[in-house]
Order: sequence, then structure tokens, then C-alpha cells
Amino acid sequence: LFFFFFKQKTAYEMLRSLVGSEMCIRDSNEGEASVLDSPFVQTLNSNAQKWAPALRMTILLMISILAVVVRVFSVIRFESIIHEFDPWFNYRTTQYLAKEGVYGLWNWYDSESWYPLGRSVGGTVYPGLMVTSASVYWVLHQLSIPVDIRNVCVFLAPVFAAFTSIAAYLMTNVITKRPEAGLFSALFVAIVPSYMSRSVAGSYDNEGVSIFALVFTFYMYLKAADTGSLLWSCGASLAFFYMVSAWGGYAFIINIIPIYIVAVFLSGNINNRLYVSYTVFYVLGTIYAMQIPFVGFQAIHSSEHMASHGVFIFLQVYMFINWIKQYITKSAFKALTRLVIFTFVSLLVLGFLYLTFTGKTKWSGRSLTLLDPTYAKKFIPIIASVSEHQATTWSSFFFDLHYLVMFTPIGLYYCLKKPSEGKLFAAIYTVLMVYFASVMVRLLLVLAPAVSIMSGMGVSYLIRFLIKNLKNALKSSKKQSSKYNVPSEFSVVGILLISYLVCTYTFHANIAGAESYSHPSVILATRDQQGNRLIIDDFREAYYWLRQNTKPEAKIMSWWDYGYQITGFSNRTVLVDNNTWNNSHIATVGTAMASSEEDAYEIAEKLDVDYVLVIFGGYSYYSGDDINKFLWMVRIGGGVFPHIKEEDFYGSGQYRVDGQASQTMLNCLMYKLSYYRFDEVKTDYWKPAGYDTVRQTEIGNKGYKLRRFEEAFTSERWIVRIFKVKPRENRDGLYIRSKGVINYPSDTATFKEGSSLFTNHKYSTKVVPPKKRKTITVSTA
Amino acid sequence: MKKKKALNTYYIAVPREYDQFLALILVRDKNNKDIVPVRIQDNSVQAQYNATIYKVDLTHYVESNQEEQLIITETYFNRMSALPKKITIFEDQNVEIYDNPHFFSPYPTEKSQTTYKLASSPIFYTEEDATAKGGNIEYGPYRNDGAFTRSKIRLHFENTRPFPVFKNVTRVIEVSHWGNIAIEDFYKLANEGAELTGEYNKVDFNKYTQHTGKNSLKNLKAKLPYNSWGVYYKDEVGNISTSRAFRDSASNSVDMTIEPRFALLGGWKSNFYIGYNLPAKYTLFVEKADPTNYYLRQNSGLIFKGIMAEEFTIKVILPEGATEINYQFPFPLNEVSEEKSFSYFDFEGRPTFVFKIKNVVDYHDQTFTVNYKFSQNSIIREPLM
Repeated sequence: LFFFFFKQKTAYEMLRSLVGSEMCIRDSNEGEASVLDSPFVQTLNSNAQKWAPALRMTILLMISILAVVVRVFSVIRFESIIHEFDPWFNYRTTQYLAKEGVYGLWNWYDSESWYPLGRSVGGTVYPGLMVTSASVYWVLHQLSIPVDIRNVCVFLAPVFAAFTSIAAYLMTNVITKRPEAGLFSALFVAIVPSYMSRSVAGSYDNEGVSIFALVFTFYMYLKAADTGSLLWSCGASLAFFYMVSAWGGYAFIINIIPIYIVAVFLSGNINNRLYVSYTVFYVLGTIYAMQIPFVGFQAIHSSEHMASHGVFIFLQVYMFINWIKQYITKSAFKALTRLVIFTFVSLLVLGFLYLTFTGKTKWSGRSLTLLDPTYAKKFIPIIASVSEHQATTWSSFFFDLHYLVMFTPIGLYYCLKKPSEGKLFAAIYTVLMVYFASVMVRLLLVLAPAVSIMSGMGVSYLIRFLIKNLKNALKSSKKQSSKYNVPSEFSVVGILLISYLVCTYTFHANIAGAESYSHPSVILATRDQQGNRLIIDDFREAYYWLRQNTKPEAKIMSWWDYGYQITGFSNRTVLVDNNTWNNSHIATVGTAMASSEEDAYEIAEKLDVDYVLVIFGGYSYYSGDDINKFLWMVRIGGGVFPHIKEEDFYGSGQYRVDGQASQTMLNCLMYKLSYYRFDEVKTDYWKPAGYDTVRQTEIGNKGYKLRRFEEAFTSERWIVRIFKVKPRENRDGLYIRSKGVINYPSDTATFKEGSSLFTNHKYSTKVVPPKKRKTITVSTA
Repeated sequence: MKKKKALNTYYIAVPREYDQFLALILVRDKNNKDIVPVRIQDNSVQAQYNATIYKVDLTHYVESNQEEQLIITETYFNRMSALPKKITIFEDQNVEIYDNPHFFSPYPTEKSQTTYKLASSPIFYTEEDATAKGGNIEYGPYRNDGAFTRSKIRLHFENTRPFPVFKNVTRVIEVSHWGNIAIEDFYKLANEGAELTGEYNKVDFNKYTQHTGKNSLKNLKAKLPYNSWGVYYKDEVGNISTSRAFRDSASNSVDMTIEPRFALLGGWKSNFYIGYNLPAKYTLFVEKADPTNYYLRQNSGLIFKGIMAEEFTIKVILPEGATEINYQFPFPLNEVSEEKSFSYFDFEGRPTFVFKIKNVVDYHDQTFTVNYKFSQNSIIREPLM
């Protein structure tokens, strides 16, 4: 589809306020560093000093408001609706939680997903997001403000973005003790596109609240490390608890902090403050983490937590040795140290190896992918198939972070120039996250606060440097400062350049937020020839049809991407959904889609499927359709059922749908359902009938009929096609289930072949020759 | 023999098998007044003649040997049924109907004649006593029928139109003394025509085609009050973008055309909401002598003409603190209950009246009044909090 952008004015209108706040920051800097000694400037200076805290708070408030406002484009342009895929599950769970309460959620066994297995939601979910919005909902209702739960969910992420910018301000403040750096960080993080992509209004995802939790935990922890206070340490572990409850990304915190401790230790600056803060944080944090049912004992034995255990034990030992040092001779101490370090390290390594090889501790597939970027591609196609798990390209780095990628090295330079514990922490956080963000595009999100804080530090450092320089240059008529010797013209240009870059960044961020990240993806928009805006509502049309016109217990087979949406919109049972916990079940669906109509029918029948739903974009330029995702279905299916082979789906060495495509491709269920009767329509006046607008080619298999499936519904622009699984015809097929009696057909050979199709293949290593397939003559109409 | 008296009651009989489909029965006498007859709960007559009797109280007495002209209108629903019950998207919908061509009455009838106006020339009709002229079939005239005379005829003809029915309509009217009346209707719509069988056939059927899926319901036209504003059309999963509305001063209404998310083929259902606001000054009146006495006048019918609602619920939510609430409806109600609703900053709840009406047709498009006392001072209580 062609997405055209409209209402661009809004973006610019918004920017005016931004430029305003930008000016304020510079004004305050100039106020502090006034160069002229005239009484007017003196008064101005003292006034600025006096008003600085108020000004700071005002700017921070404006940044927070901006963080909210810039995220509501999606509501203004579309409507207050939950976006995309995962948010639909979160929304549905929140509805359930708001209605049934915490214990209801805890015990919720959802029979509408993963048919026939179901899913015990309470134990397999990070409930932080849902509990947050349900609490907001309950509190507002107690205050007699009957807001809709949907609106709470839609607007939660923007509000938390405002909190994030405040947390970033606080964190930078703790690191640098410079509020202007904090304000820059707050501004940067408030509008950084990669964070906006997950926190626009309607994007009701775990990350929406957990980025705040992440930054806030770091802030609390740094404060604790800075003061050595038990209170702050407890606060940090509580913030960490919130993070654990909200998102699996808490693993970053529980690894970054130990790495930071090790780094401080290596730099020889380990002290009691750090010891107290880490010990308290580790003990409480781990206990808290175990309270989340989904984490439970994983907080003890999963590999993600090993570093934290190791560092904890190490710190205890180290402190113990230090204590002993007071009582024994120097040489004895040396020997003891060596012994202890040796035993400790070897125990740690051995223990870790033992746990890993006995399988007591396990790396999750996603974590392994982070450590070895090629892992998923080789072993877990289901992780590799998700676009947000792909390696990040340079263009998305730049699009999502923009000039922050330039400012960050300056910040890093500043950190290393005048190192402190806080700066070391920020540097470690940034460097680690740069690595992770390069591996998975999704983790740009976790990098965003890091680079924002770094950039805030870098930009404020640069500006401070240049202004000091300028000040000295103006004063220099009397005495020459040797410290800053950059020409003052250069300083002026430098300041202007930085201001320009920061302004450009805000422009870019606003436009990226408004244009790229504000699409709900369940509603599409385009323009007609006259330039009128057209809403393409095929998804809701079809989902709502399912909700209204199928029986309530109907089971829908679709690719897992649409599982959450179907349960959310249509309230119908699905076989697989976006919680990809059961790979073989997904592989079964993939196999069904990749099999011939007859084979697929058997799978569908065994799984009690009533309808098959496919997404087809060939009619209306919608490129994110199932045919384009199909190779992943083949790969995932083939990973469990080896008779599905990827190479069978290539024609002339390419994945294609036209006349040169392979027979397997042309006759698989996905192809037949997507292109059913497509050859009878013309999508373009100049092109032949059956011309696929996405693949830019004429389809290869035409004029076929479906025997086992029946078109039940096709949306306005063909994007969603729903097919009914027909009941068996009389005296047909392998067996007929009637009143619990299985009638075997006379032709037992067919029966054996048919029923063994899928059970035999399940774990066999032997390659079974593919079944003979009916060839269909390709008509050349 | 008793002396003949002047009469002001008249009885109407309806064959019992059709009574359950009777939406409305109206009698108009020479004073041009619509009278709603009352159903008689006499089981003996019902059993004996297999008939349901309705009693009409005329507006005046009719002396003996005097003639009186009455126009009786009976509105039925669900009497026509599709035959065949299921059709493909390419087929035309045919319907059949059974009826009694005699004037069914507890009194002897001197002469009666029945004309059936069909949508098309019939495929089949009971030929006894019948004369057919195109789509019009005349039965009779029948002379000197005794009381409760009946026979059965069958008509089978083509009717390709959709059969939209609202299974349930709920209207919520929220009164604010800040000058706005917010109205939201929730509709459960069904197309009760011949059910679709076989394939959907997207290639042959879409919004713009006329020759396939003829009994599909593609759009509906509503008339909202002239002053309504802030009109919206949505369903449980969000906004529906296929609707148009414009203010038409000629018909003194806001004409709204809605398209459901998908065209409703036979047997399909869809739910939707339509909401709008009315400025209070046109519908909320205050008594001059007593400024605490308010009258809310609202339409008691559907905004869609010609479609029946099997159940219609009107919820009137009055502002918090309204007392001495009375209501007047121009027709009898099936059920009335009272409850409390809670909205922004409500603590004791808003008095809410729930009126339930069954089988709502165009006749119900009238005005009802809710009268209550409300002190002007209590409206500033909530903003103060």
C-alpha cells in the first residue's frame, strides 16, 4: 500500500514549542556564563542563578508534556485503538485483569489460544504492564472517573514516556551533577524515535513501561552506589522488581550492574558504598524477581542471572579477605589471596560448566541469539523469522537515533576524560547496549536511553567547553588563559552548529514519530486519485465478521502473527499466536500451510479447525502478507516435519509465484488459498488478469478449484481471506467420525498412508519421500 | 331478549398461530384516533376458536342500527420465510407466506375481500377464490362468513430485498444540565433473509455489484434529529469509517447513511453503535412558573424507518439529584425499572429509568416525556469537587 503523509503542519506546529524550550536551555547557559561585566549582565546573572531551579523544573515539565503530545499523533490521525500484534494480548489480559482481579489473572487458563493446548496466562506473562493499567483504571474509578479501560491502555505508554524523560534527567544528574546535561538527556530521550516506535499512544507493549523502569532502576542504583545508603538500595531493588514484572529485558539490568561492579573493581576503586548497594540490590532484587511466577526459580538457575550470583559471592569473598588482611602478615595475605582467587575462579568456571552441560542452567534462545548472532538463523527459525529480531542495519541506527549517534562518542569521550563511578556506569551501559542493539533491531529501544544520556552529557559538555572558551576570549584583553585556546569564532560556530544539530534532531524525531511510528497497523490509510484520505479497514472488517458470523467455539487456523489479533478482535479460538512458546505447534500450522490441499485438510481436521485465515496483499499492494512470510512457515514447518523442504518451494532457484514456480509451491495450501480465483480479476488495466501487485508478476496456477475448503469471506480489498474447512463428503476419505465410531474405509492402503502422514514424520530422522502430488495443468488463459 | 344497547367496545380476533408474529395492532375510528387494543386473557375462547381476542375501547358510543367505520391495521413480522431457506450468492431470494384470506372476526361478516400486494408476480398461489393481476392477488369477495371463519392460502413469490431486523436496540439518553443531551444507540442487526450457502465468491460479489447477493444488506439510512451534532458510528472493535451524514433542512433532519463493516448476506449479523448529541435547549424544557420542574421530550422510536426492533430498551440517565420523576409514553410499555448509573464525579449515582418495549415499528416514532425536579444549584456541585 502507498502510505501518504498528511497533516504535516502539525509536526511543525509542535516543533515551535520545542525550539522554544531549546532556546531556554541556551539562555540559561548564557546567563550562567555571561562574559560582560556590565551591571545589567551582573543582575541578569544573579537573577538567572536565583531562578535556575524554577526554570529547570519548567523546562523539565515542558519536556514531559512534549513526550506525551508527540506520541498522540496516532490517536489524532486514526483513533484510540490498540496497535499491532502483542499489544492486543496485553489489552485482552488487562481487560481480564480489570474484570477478574489479580487472583483471576493468576488462575486464568485461556482456552481461546493454542487450541487444543490452551495457555495458563497467569504463569506465563510479565504482568507489570497489565497491573499498572488496571491499577490506574481502578484508582480512577474509585475517584469516580469512569474512563474506559481501552483509553487507559492507549495512553499509558505516552505518560510513561514522560516519566522516562524525568528519570533520564535524574539519572544524568546523578552521573554528572549537572542539571543542564540532565535536561538535554530528558529532551533527547523524550523524543528519540526508537523509543517512540514502541510508545506511541496505542502501542500498548511491555517496553512502554519497562524503559521507564529500566532508567529509573539505574537512577536508583546509581544513587545508592553514590551514597551507599540502604534506603536507595532498597528503592533500586523495588524499581528492579517493577522492571522484572514488566519485561524480560530485566536481564540487562541484572547483568549490567554486576559488570559495572567488576569494572569498578578492576579499576581499583571498589569501596564499601558499592558493596552495600550491590549486596542489598542483589539479595532483594533476586528475591523480588522470584515473586513473579513467570520468573520464579529462573532467578536462581538461569544463565542470565549467573553473573549476578558470581559477583555477589566474589564481593563477599573480597570483603572477607580485606577484613582478614588486618590480622595476618603481608606474605601470608598474598598467598591467601592467590589461593582464594584461584579456587574461586576455578569453582565458578567449573560450576558454570557443570550447570551448563548437565542442563541445570539454560540460555533462552533469544539470549543465545544475542551472544551469537548467527545462532537463531542456524537453529531457531522462529526467532529468526521475526523482523524485530533481525540484525540492525546502519540506516535504522541512524533513522532511530539520528544525531544521537554523533553525540554519543562525545559523551563517551567526556566520560573517559574525567572518569567517575557514575560515568563509568553510563559508559558500560552504552557500550554493551550498542553491541546488543547491533544484533537485534528491537534492542535499539534499550540503547535509546543510553545514547540519550550520553548525548546529553556530550552536548552539555561541548557547549560548556565552548562557552567557557568564548568567555575567556572576551575577558582575554587582560590576561591570556592557556587552558582554552580555541579561537572565539570557532566557539561561536561550534555553538551554532550544535544548536542546529539539536534542532534538526527534534525535527527529525517529530517527523519520524508522526509519520513512521504512528500507524496502528490494523488500520491502514491511503489516498485516492482525488487526494482524499481513505481508511483501509480490511483487518477489522474480517475480524469482526469472524466475531459476528461464526459460531463462538469456532477454531481459526492462521499464521501465528495474527493469533493475538484474532482472539482480541474476534473473540475466537486460535491454534497459534504471537506467544511463540510451542514451536512444534507452530510448525504444524506451517506444515499445513505448506502442504497440498489434501494433506493440509487432514491436519486441519485433526486439529479441529473450522476456518483458515490468510492475509493476501496481491490485490491491493499490501506487502506484509502471508505469501511474503511463507518461506518462514516452510522453514519452521520443515524444522519439525522434515518432509517439508525449503528447496521444494523454489522455482528456477528463486522463491516465486509465477509460472516458473515449483509444483510444490503452486499447489500448497497457502498458495491456493491466497490466489483462489485471483486469476479472474484484473488488478491493473495494463496487466493480465491475475497480476500480483506485490510480487509484480502474473500468478502461475490458474483456474483451480478447491475441494476441501470453501471461501467463507474475503475483505473489501482482499487483504484478509477466510476459508471454511468443509465437512467430509459422504463415504469419502479415510475415516468418518460419527458418534464416536470410527468407520474405516474399504481402501485401507489410503488410510494407512494418510494417517501416518504426520505422526511418522514427527521425530524421524529418515527422510520420507514426498507423496505423489496431483499435477495441475497451468492454464494459459 | 335484551334491549339492544349502545356499544363502545369492539373485539378483534387474530388467528392464534399468527398472534406471536403480531408486532402492532391499531384501530382508527371515525374520530381519526389511533387506539391500541388490549389483549384479552381468556383462554377458553382461545382454545375453542384457536384465536386471540383483542378488545377495543372506542372513543364514543355507537347506537344500535348505526354504522361505524373502523380501520384496523395489523403489523406482522417474521411471517414471510425464505423458500428455499438457503441460497447461493447467485440465486434470487424467494419467500412464502401463509395466511387466512377471510376476515377473521368474532362477529359474522357479510362481505369481505382480501388483496395481497406482492413484490413480484407469484411463483405459486392458492388458486381457490383468487384473481391474480400481476403482483396483486385478490381473494374473495366472501359473503356471509360466520364468526371465526378461516381457510389457509399459500403465496410463494420472489422478493430479493434483504430482511433487516434489529434483534435488540439499547438507547442511552444522558441528560446534562450543562446544555447537552448525549444519546447512544446500540444495535444488534441481522439480515433474516435466505441464508447464504456455498461460497462467498468475492470475485462475483462486492459492495457495488447488483446481480449477485441481491438479498445482502449493504447500507442503512437513518434520520437523526435536525440539531444533532457530534455523530459517531462505531462497534466493539472501534470506529467504522463508512458512514456519511448531512444536515437536510428540507426534511428537518440529519440524514445518515451507514454501511456495516461488511455487507450482510442472508443469515449474517453485525452489531454497531450510533451516538449523537442534542443541544438541551431543543429537548429539555423548564416550567416557567416553577424553574425546578423540568420536562425532557425525546423520540421513542428508532432512527431507522421501516425496520423493526424486537426489543428496544431506552435508558434515561437524569442528572444526579433529580427527584420526583414521572414519565409519559404515548403507548403502553412492557417493562419499566429504575436503577442508578455512575459517571464522572458521581457518588450517589444518577437516577436512571429503563423502559423496555417489544416489537418496535414505525408507529412508535413518537415523543415521550420525562418530568423531574432538579435544583439549579446542584449542577455546580460536581465542578467544585
